[in-house]
Amino acid sequence: MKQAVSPVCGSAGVSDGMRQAAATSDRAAISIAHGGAAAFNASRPYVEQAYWSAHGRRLSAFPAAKHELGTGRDAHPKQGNNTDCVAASFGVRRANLQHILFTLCIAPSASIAHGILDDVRLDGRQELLGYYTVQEPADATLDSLLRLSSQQADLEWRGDWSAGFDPCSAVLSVRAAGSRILESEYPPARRSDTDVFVNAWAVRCKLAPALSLSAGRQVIQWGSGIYRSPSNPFFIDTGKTHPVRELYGKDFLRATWQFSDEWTLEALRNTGVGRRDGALEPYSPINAVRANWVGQSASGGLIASKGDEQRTRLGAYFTQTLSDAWLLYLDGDVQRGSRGWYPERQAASPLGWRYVRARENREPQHALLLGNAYTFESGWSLNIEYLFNEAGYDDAARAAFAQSKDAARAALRGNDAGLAAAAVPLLLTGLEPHLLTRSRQTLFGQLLRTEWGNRGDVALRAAHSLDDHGTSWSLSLTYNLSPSAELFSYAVRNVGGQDSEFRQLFDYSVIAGARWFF
Amino acid sequence: MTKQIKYVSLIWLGISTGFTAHGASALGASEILSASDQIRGGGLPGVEWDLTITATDADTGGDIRKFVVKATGDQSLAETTFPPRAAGSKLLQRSRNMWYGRPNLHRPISISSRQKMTGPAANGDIASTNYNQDYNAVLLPDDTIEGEPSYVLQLAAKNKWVTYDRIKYWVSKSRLVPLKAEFYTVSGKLFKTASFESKNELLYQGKRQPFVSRMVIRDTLNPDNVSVLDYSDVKLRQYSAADFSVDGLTQ
Repeated sequence: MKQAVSPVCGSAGVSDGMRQAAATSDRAAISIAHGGAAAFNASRPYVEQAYWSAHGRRLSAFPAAKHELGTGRDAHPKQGNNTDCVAASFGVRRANLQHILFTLCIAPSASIAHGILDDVRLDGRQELLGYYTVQEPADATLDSLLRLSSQQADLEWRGDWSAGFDPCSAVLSVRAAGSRILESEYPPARRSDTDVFVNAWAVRCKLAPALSLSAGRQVIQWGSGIYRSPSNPFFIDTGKTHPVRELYGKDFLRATWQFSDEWTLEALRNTGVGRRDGALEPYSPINAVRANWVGQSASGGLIASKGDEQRTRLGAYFTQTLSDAWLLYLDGDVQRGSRGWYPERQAASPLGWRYVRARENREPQHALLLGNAYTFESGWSLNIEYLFNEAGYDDAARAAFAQSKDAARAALRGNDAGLAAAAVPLLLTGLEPHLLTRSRQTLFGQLLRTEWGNRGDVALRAAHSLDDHGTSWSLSLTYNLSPSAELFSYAVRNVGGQDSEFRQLFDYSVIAGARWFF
Repeated sequence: MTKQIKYVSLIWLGISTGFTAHGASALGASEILSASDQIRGGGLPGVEWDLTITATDADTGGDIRKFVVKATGDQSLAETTFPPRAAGSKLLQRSRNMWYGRPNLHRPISISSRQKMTGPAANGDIASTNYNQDYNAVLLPDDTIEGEPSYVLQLAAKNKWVTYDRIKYWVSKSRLVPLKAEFYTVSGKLFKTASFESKNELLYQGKRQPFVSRMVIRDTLNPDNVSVLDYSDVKLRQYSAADFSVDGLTQ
């Protein structure tokens, strides 16, 4: 009996208590289950197994038991109180003790869990992908600094889970990645690298039918632009053009009020970034308010945001469905100044150049993406986008950029360690100037066919800078091997001058691999 | 919407009180179309069903896709449950707007109803159907399909957002369920045919009404290209506006 009177109504007690009580009579067993109906689900396999042991059949096979299990959940007066559990074990007749113990202690404890689990909707997907990359660095100087690989093997596991438990829901995305550099021009610091991290998580609760709050690490995107989404103050990349690389989630607090079928109002605060996300370092928290609208044949939204550095941005996005095949869209923003880095001649600097945030003058800067998508009868879809980014480098800034890079390259080739040290930040800042695009005008095109012959997808993309005339071509292919597996490849060819936007790192890159889904 | 429900209630009242086919023939084209739309989920206040699409193509073999479809009014959400490589991807239709999303894509993509994002069927085939909203209907002389007397409707697109420009549509006179359809291009060329079975049942407004159980779409240019849409586990549901939110596509 001590087992059954386990101070915390432990699982050993559950098993013995239930089995013995159940052995007394079917009715007793049903009462036990009835007392803590919800217990059934909490430890469903365990309790059901105990019942099966006693009766030689599963509990769910008893209609009466099933009925009572379904109705007794809310009737139990004391759920999961272990003090009650111990107290109840004194002063009762031995014959009824097991019954009472289970009714008062075990069943209620499990009842809570049952109540939770019974209403929880779980979903999960996992993906294993392995791929091999061959690439040709475009700039020997940058290659010597970054020690880029020319051949590399990668293996990634991606797990995504979601759980719904009204009025809340939660998502979790865990990533494990390992890579090995097989060949490089300059020996890398480490040939192998592994990492496990949470790329996204969020908990969202409905406070009212139309009002919800969420917190967590998320990727938040909107609009129809493929190449860029200027109205988004949180993410520069859209994540739509690379079939393997994922965007890193950022930390958000979010309140959403859907006050009609057409309108949603949202308040967001981006409180931080993940350790892998260094794209906008130094990080500055951003607050935003977004209104989203969906009409009969159009949708759009407005967003106003302000960073802790007091920079205000106003953005808008809009999509018009013109027919069953044709969409027009735009996505733009205006902000005071720019967070980007611009090269500037400075005699006092060791190399004569430095990067400054020249647009701190807070003059309005516009960015606008105009897009068009058309699906042909054959099933192929063509997207054409034009992006104007006023904060991009103008002719003078592009010339300064080329000269500063030349100075940095020369310093790295020389023997002066001081100058070489000064060259490194110059080159790296030029590589990532924190701009939507370095070009002021870009044309982007995508030709896409999904489910071609039920065998896979094909996407041909090109981005062309109308300023430096460089172009990045890419071809993405997937081939469905089975319901759970596919082969994929992604080839990129960058052409243009030595200092063109798209030919900064690689001349070409080819990725080939396979994915398994389970 | 209220008007449609009123019409359908009247229709079903007529059927349940023993109206003959002759009596029902007083129905106008729009009423017939509205009643047959409900058999395919169009215009119902909230309904969910499982959909399995089996596509056969002489060149590429077979392909099976499974979805859970939720629909209310002119909104629908189809979530892929099979194959595993596409599981979790969602197709959202709100009026004329359509988006596609996957949990790892992070961003909903605006698409057109002509685009095929979820297997061989066009997006417009998967979403719920509301022909009465999108087409003008004219009654043609009655016909008989496999021994069942039927109305024949000529449907012409009211707008340019629909997947098919013109449809010839056969609806059972006694059951007001769709039996057959022919889909035509703008140039008047027949390019798809469909046949329907309506063996599912739905308890709606206290009455049992049939719901489509199978739709077989054949490509007339390539007769070996066949898509079979099987509907099952049909049930009424209540949805909130948030259930059809664009942001929800990638969460």
